[in-house]
Amino acid sequence: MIPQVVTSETVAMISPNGMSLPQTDKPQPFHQWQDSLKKHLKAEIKVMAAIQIMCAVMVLSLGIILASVPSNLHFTSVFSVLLKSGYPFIGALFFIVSGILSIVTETKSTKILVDSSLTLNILSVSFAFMGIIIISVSLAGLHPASEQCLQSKELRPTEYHYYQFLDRNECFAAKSVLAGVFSLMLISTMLELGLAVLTAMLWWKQSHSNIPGNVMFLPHSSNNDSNMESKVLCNPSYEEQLVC
Amino acid sequence: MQGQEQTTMAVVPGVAVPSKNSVMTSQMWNEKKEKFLKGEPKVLGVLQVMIAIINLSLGIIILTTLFSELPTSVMLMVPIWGSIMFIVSGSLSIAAGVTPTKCLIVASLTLNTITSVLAATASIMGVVSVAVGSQFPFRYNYTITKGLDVLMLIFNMLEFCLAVSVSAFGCEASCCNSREVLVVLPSNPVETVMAPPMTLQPLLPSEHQGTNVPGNVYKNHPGEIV
Repeated sequence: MIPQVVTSETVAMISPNGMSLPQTDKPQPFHQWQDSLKKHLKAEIKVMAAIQIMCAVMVLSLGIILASVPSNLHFTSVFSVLLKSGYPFIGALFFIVSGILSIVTETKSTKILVDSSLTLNILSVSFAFMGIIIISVSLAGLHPASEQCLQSKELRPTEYHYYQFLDRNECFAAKSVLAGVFSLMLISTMLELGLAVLTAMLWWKQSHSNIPGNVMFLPHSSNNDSNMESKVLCNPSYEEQLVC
Repeated sequence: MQGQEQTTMAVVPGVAVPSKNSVMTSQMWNEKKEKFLKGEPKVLGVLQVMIAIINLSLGIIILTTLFSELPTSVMLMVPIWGSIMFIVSGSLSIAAGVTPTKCLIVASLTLNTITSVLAATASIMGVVSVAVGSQFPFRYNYTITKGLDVLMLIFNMLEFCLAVSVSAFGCEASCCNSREVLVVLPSNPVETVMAPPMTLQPLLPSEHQGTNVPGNVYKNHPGEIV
């Protein structure tokens, strides 16, 4: 009994590889490396989508905080460009939607969902690039704004030394807090860019490898019809192809 | 079915009772592991680490401002010790999700319970801090620091929810042992009916990977040791 079972298993396992080799016309190590990379990325798609959504929430929250700052001081002109561009709100919305769509597409993968997820991730990459540029310009503009703030404080008539000390510290404190907020937004945006690129690569490979999966599906079902025991034994690979 | 049983007995020539016990232990462990993995501990762990890093960053940003303007929670260094505990428990959740062993699941459960208590404490401090405000508020910086303080409070509450979720799934995996024992013992026919599908499921992936039957038996022994 034992040798016969092993023999049938090896026969069942060889046939999918035999069918895949002539169709792909590629050397086996590269194909296996690509498959292993795809499997590894696919296993982590929920984690990447969760980080994407968290970064988007961070950018959106910091944007709301900056928008609620009173607007009659020198530092407001530094981030007015950032707020007017709408990046913290529109960009964060795109990041959240692409993250949610990645989770849904990983759960049930249809062609429409895969293409939609790919499109939104590409748009997220564009928004992330734009955000990185705008936030970098805002960070660079902090120093001259701080100097203008100091000059305006010094021009005031100073009757008490204590109040002058407070005024100067206000400029330094505002500069440091805004620098921290911009740095945090920049880091979140860079992380978002990396994750969107990885996810877009994954969905692109997914959408372009539908045809071999469909071709591999047919002979496997014929093998299932021929033998019930092999059908039971090959159940996980059947599910794997169904997921693909 | 019969072939599978014969191969199992052929590999283990000892008494039938130990093999049944090992099969029972393996089945129960697989069920527990599936219960734990159903809660997505890896994703929750990554979220915990992310929230901890964000809280730490927000705390450092607020600390760079004037001392008289600091919110109460930041003066008590809540972002520092809170974030360290969150990072440790999140890393442990990720480790338990990647390789679920009994020690890791129990350690993850313990640390997440402690973390949920700390997160609740930090949330209470955050509420008090937002309500009280700060001394000598500058009109410009006050808005930003108060906004960051509210943001830290929201993330502490989210951390509390995540820690409770991971603790619940960890407890379900490791604390519901007596119920399963009660179910298994009285009915042997149910066990014999349950046995074949459970034995088939772990066998198939190992055969798909190309390992032999003795390798599968060797894999069972480390599980028993753990």
